[in-house]
Amino acid sequence: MDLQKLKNEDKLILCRKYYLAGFFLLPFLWLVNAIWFFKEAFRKPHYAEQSEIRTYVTRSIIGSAIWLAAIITWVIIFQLNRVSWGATGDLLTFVIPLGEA
Amino acid sequence: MATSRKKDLFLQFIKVFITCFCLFANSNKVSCVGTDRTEHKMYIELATQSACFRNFNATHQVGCTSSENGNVGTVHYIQSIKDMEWVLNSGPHSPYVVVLKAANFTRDTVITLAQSSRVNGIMVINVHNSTHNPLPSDGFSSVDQCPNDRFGLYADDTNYNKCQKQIWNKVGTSLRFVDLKIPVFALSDIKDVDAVLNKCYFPFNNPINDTARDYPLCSAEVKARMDGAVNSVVCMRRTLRTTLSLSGPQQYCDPMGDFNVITFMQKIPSSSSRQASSVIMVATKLDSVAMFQNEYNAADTTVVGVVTLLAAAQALWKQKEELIQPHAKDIVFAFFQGETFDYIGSSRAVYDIQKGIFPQEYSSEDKNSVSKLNLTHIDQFVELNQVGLRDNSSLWAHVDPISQPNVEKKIEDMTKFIKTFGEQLNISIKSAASKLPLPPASAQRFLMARKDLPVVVLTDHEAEFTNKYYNSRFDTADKLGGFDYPEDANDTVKYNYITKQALLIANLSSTLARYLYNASTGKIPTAAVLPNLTADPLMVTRLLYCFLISPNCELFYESVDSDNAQSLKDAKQPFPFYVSVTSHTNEVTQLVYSLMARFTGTLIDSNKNDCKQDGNYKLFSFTWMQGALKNNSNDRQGWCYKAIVHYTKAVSPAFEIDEYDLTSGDYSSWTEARWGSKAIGIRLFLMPSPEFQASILAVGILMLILSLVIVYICQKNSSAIFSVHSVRTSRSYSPMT
Repeated sequence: MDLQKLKNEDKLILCRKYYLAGFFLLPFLWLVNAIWFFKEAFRKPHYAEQSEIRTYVTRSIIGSAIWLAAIITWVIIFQLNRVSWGATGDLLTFVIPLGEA
Repeated sequence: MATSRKKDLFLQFIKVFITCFCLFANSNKVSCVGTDRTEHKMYIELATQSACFRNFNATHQVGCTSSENGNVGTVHYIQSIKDMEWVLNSGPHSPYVVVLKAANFTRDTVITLAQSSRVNGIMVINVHNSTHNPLPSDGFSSVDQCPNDRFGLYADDTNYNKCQKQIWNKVGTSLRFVDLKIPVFALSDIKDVDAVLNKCYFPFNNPINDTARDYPLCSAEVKARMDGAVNSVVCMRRTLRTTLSLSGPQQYCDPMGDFNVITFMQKIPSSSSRQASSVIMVATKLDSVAMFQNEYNAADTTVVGVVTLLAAAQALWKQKEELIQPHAKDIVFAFFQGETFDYIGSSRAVYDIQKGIFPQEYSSEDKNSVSKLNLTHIDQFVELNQVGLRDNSSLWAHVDPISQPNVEKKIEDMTKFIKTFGEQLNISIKSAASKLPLPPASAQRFLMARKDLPVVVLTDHEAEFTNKYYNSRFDTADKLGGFDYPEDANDTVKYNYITKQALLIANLSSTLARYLYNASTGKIPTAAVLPNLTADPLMVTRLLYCFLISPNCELFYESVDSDNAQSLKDAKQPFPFYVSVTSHTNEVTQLVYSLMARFTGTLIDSNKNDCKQDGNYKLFSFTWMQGALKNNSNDRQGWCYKAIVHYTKAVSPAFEIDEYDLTSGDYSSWTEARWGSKAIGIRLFLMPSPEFQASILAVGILMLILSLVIVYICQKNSSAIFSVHSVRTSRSYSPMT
């Protein structure tokens, strides 16, 4: 969808939808929202709906940053402890490496 | 204008360049059609597949593996102590792949090399002659000094455990049970050895006056990548886990095991039950092990015992009529598989007996299976271990010192009669010192389940093993001795030539047959029955030839189904005695089964399709084999043997019992790692200097950048280069137009 062709109020609706949907454990929607609407929120000359869009975009950025941090932390913990967790570690693993612990 | 002229010239140049490149690419393609692939010009592939591979028990991984794409190292041939120092410390071109002579392949050397970060792999020369590559003179055994101790009768006995009375296998290196972490191969093909030494090491790597050679150096890529890791607990858990995968579950390892071959003399259906002490059990083991895949010689370790039992069965069954009388005791011939790996076969047999499903699983309505056997039915247990390399031409009867006082009289009788019948055939059998425990034997698992079982184990050693190559690749017919074939004898002559060793074994078989006759009927064999109770030395020599020298022999051809005949033809060396994994039935097991069917069964008139069990009538087995050649024809007669020979599972109960804790140590927990179809192999190549490699890489990167630039320019000026009229008008490139 080309944002250029959208009316400002439709932009706001779209941005809000993405923002709200992100709460259903869908951090990628926040990431997409943040990137997609970044220009609209911060670069475009002022228009009526911009401040609200800016709020959603800022929150999306914060949300996806938290998610990213959480995922990185988990991946590090998991990779460091997969072997010592034994059976649990295997259960949590999708592809177990061949020939290694 | 000067600039546009210049530009035109440049474009002309590019046109020429592209044309040239296309031509070159084309001509290259032509040469690609030929057989000389670049890969073949770069590498010498070795034929060897004799890799050390990985096994697991409940707590450890043992054996070898390489990195995913193979371990690479500079080839270095260890000829002296100086070379060891070179490889471990001073040599400038580490990592090394080391080539060892058989005599240097000792526990200390191998472990030192494997632990060094400067060594990436080991190849051991396995082509032997007395001057260049003699066998290790002190002996070599790939297994422990006290084999199977932790799973045997004396595991928890403070007087006898850990071989404290007698270390049976003094030359045991345990190398088969060490986690070496690097790939180790045997080079058994003279061409491989020639390639490694004469095409690779000596021309390129051999230091001159103790100075290292310059690049290029000959390197080896040694690959034996194993899929499983850690131990049986982990890799079985991973193998058995349920996954959502289109390609099926990933397998990491398989339980080891196969089948025991069990033969009964008497036809006792499940509708009638056996009496106490009414069954005589005779047993031996069917397997061995060594360091390398395919290199499992087992002349004294296994084959001699198996052949003795087979020949004894053939003799005994000639006197069948007397032995199937109701007052005679039943005789069971048991060949146990997987004994080398903590008594897989015998521990399973005992487990099945205790569950009441031995030798067959049947429901209460089944009246026509083999009547079940339980431990109290067993009157006595005679086992043959190694019996080939006789200590001062004597065999030794071993008994268990713990249970002996309970059954002293019985055991005395047993040894007395065995000795007597042996003497008649010039075989001296002596009693081993009474302080000694039983050597490693299947009987131990039976004694663990029934303490008052009368057991005699016959072996060729009183104290330590007379076999210096127990469970190793050196345990060959040569080492066993007595294979006195005439010089230049061809295969047919050898097959039919009765060797000294065959005579010795035939005598032992006769001894056993006569003893069993006596034990079963209580009668001393009369002159009339003695010829029947005499093993056929020709059959013994043939069995030895087929098992030890070449399976490509008439006896085996007769005894297999036509579907398996090709595998005999293809076999380049004796069939492996390694038990392997459960999913694959060992050739040796199948052959022993067929041979027992032949020796103990009756030939019935049947064709291949009808040669099978009739519904629930499971007492007899029916074995189809292609039989002898018809007169003047290449066709074979086709034989169907009806016999009381049965396979019973030789898979450790550890893998059958639900929720069994593998680490409990009750049953064998051995598994074997899986590996991919191309996971094993060695190839040699010339390694250029690091500077040369770096410059090649730099040129490659430059070429890439240059080609990007050229493509960019070409695209910018595509309309000028390619004179396509429709494009010329638009002047700019767009994929959509």
